[in-house]
Amino acid sequence: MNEHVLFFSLERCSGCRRCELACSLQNAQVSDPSKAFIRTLVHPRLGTPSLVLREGCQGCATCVTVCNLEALCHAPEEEWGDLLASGWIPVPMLPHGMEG
Amino acid sequence: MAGYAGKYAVVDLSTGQVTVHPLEEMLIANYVGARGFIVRWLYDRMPAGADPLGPDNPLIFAVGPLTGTLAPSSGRWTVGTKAPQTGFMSVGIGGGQWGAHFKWAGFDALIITGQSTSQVYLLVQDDRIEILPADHLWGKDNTETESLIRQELGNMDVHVASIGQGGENLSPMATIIADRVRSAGRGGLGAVMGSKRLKAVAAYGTGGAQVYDPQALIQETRRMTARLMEERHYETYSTWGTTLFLDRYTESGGLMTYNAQKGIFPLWREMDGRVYVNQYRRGQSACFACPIPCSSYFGVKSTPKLPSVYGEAVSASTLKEPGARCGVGDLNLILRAHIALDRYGLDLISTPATIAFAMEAYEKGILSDRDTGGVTPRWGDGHAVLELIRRTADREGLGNDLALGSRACSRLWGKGSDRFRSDSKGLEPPATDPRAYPSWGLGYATSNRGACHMRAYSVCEFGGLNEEQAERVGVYMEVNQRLAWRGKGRAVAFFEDLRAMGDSLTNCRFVARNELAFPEWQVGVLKATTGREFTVKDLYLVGERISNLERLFNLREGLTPADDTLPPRYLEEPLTEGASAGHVVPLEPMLEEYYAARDWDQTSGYPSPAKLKQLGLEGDVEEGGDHMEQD
Repeated sequence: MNEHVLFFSLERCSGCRRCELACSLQNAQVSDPSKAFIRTLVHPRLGTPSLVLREGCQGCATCVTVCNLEALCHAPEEEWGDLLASGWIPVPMLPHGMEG
Repeated sequence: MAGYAGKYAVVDLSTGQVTVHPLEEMLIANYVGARGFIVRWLYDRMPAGADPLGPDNPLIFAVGPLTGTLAPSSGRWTVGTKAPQTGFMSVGIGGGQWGAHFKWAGFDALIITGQSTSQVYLLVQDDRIEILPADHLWGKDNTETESLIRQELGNMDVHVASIGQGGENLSPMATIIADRVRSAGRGGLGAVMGSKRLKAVAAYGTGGAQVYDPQALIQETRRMTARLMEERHYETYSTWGTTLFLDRYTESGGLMTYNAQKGIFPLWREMDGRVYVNQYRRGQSACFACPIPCSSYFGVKSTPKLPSVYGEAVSASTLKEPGARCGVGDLNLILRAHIALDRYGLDLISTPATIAFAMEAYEKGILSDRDTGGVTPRWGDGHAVLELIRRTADREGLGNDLALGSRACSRLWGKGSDRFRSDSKGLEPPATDPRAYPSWGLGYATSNRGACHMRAYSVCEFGGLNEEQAERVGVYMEVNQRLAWRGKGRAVAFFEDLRAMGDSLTNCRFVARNELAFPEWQVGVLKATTGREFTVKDLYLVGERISNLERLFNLREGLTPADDTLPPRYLEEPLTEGASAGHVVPLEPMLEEYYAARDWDQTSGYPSPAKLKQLGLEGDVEEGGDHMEQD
């Protein structure tokens, strides 16, 4: 099984939202974050970023290709240990049925 | 209509009427968007001589065709009006997320006219605009206003552009702030909003932005980002924001210190970018869709006298303006001043510049302790700076004078204080001394909104143009020599138009600082987003058209060539130390070259009939007027 997981680096992520814009363009042909499978969560008071995935992501990794800060990594299982040990965070998944 | 929402709204706050109109094709073809739309509409809609704080002065918010898409730095928003500080047109541009949400809500622009009898705010949401009561928000700062609006709407993703106490109290230094810290509107655009009793414009959209060719936009964005990452400034901005620039200004002797009496600040190493990053910054962040994380967020620990505070978006101006310009070397207090200015909605440049002006007036005995009401405006006293910012926002005591800006203060206080004011056309420049950077000096003098460094943003003195770029600008490599002047008149005219074109696309200056600023890089992303075939030549003409129409607006408001100048200090008092010692700004020859490059009449200041015809503006000038006799 060639399972991949999307990791992100909290240290590198700037909260720019390019990942979700690219995702919606790739998968819904519109520039609209509400149609994206990856969502950038920016704290409403402090401006600090985080990321989350919602169900339906097929792992096309378009988000990874537009992230010039290299804050995203779509990694096969043999790399997960290294990434975790280096402080990378698996992008969490919203609970089943929850809209992003 | 790919790229565009396809419509704009006109809100008359005197009557409460809201009307929605389709975007005209000719407007798109000639002005593209954002600053271009604003300039055209202001020229057509504002009666000549209108009171900036009266009901006839429209306040216009607008975004561009790339806004809200993946295109690099496409979250920017634009606001323009006749500015109370200058009496001329001022178009400001801000970052953050607000612009994207405004576009997604279904509008390209919002023209606000009239004056409300009660305090209100606007909600722009999913093709609708509502006028809502704001009496409970009046008196609140920008951060509080955002929180209260989100709470009452039950939507934490609403984005808010608002005024603080500065705008409410009609200070001509008041700006408009979106997303708590994204400022726009130098020259008192916040006061224009306050005069309309408009506290905020809240935007929330779920419609997204239609894109003509999604795959092409992804490819163009990758291509532009890859090119951007080759630029020298990319790494510096991504790591330090602009906070490291104190090195450069100090090296050139051009860091305005003690109200530009000096060009080197002795305490600069105690408050520069390294101290900020190591002791205060907690992370870098970016505006919407921007590949450069030049912004940051930070915390300031409590002191025995002051509570802990937090903030965002520190830049070189944070360090220069309430710092070196006022002689303050304590970064803890400088960051508090930065936060206070955002919360009150006062300009980060003009407000400290006016306080520095008051400090010099106090030093020279023009202001006495009788005038200052218990606060001593003394060099280096950060606590005094904080208190004077508060009094300026509340227009209390000396703050009532300071709120008017430094040119107005010099008129009120007299006694030779005109000798050390810093403004052009009434607007203060940033604390980058033009005696060390002549093309910046020319840019301060010619900028249509007063001494703004972002109109020309002539980077030739900061890292330089390569040979190919110099050829496109039409100058020799000599323009890269910092203290030389030849070619800089032409370069500034070119850059003003290039930036105006970029502003119609809502490009950020930092993304489109060098190579990406050129239209060769913009036609592709514009085609992918809108499907429209703008040529490189079209885009150059759009920029030049915007600059010239702003000029015509200002001429109609009484501007003459005598306004294209700098105050006496920069023209007559040489810098005394450092790498620019002995220099003043060689304005006259640069200005002559600039007028020739623009094809403007040296006496009347008007564009020639041939230039007007080339730009399609010949119908915007009355034939046979006094100015035409010069041609």
